[in-house]
Amino acid sequence: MAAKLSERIQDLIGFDYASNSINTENEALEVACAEVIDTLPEELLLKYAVAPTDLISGAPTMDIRGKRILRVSRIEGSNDDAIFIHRPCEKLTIDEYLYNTQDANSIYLPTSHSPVYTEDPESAVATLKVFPAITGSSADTVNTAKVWYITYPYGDFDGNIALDGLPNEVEHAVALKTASYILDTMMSDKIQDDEDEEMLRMLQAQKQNLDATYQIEMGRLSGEKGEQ
Amino acid sequence: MNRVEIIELVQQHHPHMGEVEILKLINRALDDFTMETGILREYVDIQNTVAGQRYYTVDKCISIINVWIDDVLIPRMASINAAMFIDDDEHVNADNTLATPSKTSNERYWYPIQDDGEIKIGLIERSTESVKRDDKVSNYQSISETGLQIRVYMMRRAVHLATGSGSGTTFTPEINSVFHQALVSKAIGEGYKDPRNQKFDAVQFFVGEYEDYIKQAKKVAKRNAITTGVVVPHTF
Repeated sequence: MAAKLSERIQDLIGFDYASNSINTENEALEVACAEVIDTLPEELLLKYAVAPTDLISGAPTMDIRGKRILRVSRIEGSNDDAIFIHRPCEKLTIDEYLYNTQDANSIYLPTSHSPVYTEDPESAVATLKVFPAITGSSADTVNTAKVWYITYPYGDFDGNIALDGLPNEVEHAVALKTASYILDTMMSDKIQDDEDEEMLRMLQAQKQNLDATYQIEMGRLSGEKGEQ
Repeated sequence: MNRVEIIELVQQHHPHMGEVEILKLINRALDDFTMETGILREYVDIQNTVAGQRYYTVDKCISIINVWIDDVLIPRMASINAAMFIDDDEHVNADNTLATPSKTSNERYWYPIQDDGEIKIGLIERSTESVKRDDKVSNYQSISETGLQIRVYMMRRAVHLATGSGSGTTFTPEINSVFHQALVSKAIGEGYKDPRNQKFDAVQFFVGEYEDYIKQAKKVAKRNAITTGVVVPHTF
């Protein structure tokens, strides 16, 4: 049976998640996950991505807070002839999007053949929008879109044995990076509170070792041979 | 080659370009190619005559080769000045139009005018009763009969490709498919002038390729679908 993340971290540095001995152990895990997710190639994340969200006329946009967007495709073709061509959407910044999609005479006007999407923060909720407009009323039909994404894990999830959208092989890298962050906190304690130089040196050496292992692990996952 | 193939071929060189930008380049190339070569020719019934109406617009026309009225080939009026000596001003500002002729003549002529960015043909008849105005007399009147079919044989521009089209002339360029690659070469060459993907040696190559197609197409257009014989030298 696979180990929990907290157990992996405990094995690496002896830190007990149940002890609540530091304030930011959950944040350390969140940041480590975010860093690993941001570093991994999209192709690898796509392979393990959760089911995509369908954008339809009833719900043409998507709340993308806390998510990394991997791919967006818009469907053109013919419902009657059952031709559904997924055209990849190009990502535009919000200013490009607002300019390009509003001027029908522009040479940059996106079409069904070359659709675009943007991340719009206008209403304080980061929202994904696609152009040309989504008019299909049911998923997997013409003029609808699909969004592949991964959600950055958030909150208290040290008891998980797997993370949605991530392959098992990546969990070791997450544990290494989390352990490294926790060691930072423990080293700070040794400096600020205990003034224990001997322990500090030992923690520093262990952190160096963990960081090096993490780099090797990420190199393996991100490199040519990284696709599991 | 159709719209999708053309777009994909251009995107192999310029992946940053979208459909609209590529089609604008292709349509410009299409205009230029048909204008330069005169390869796109067509017999088209433009409309029926209207008694007293002299001018008829010929859409997408580059130049007119022949005109038929009621399936009868009519000659071109050699002197436009003679034809327009007393003009029917309906094509500019119809405030002083000539009256509809009361008598008919089958001695008909046509002449072209370029007006307001389009080509129109003027249809006239030799007048059996002179047309007079300001002490001047013209021997030509506007066409006098209604409902005669006007057919034109002309060199013309092609219909532009349109975004999202799936069939017809907005999907597949109207010129002979042998020359579709010319449009792609021209668009790729123009794309390499763009600062986003500027390569002047590539411009030279692709525009040169396009010009080779132009030469070839001009030969085809001049040949006019006729194979000529060969003079074989003999020793007597």
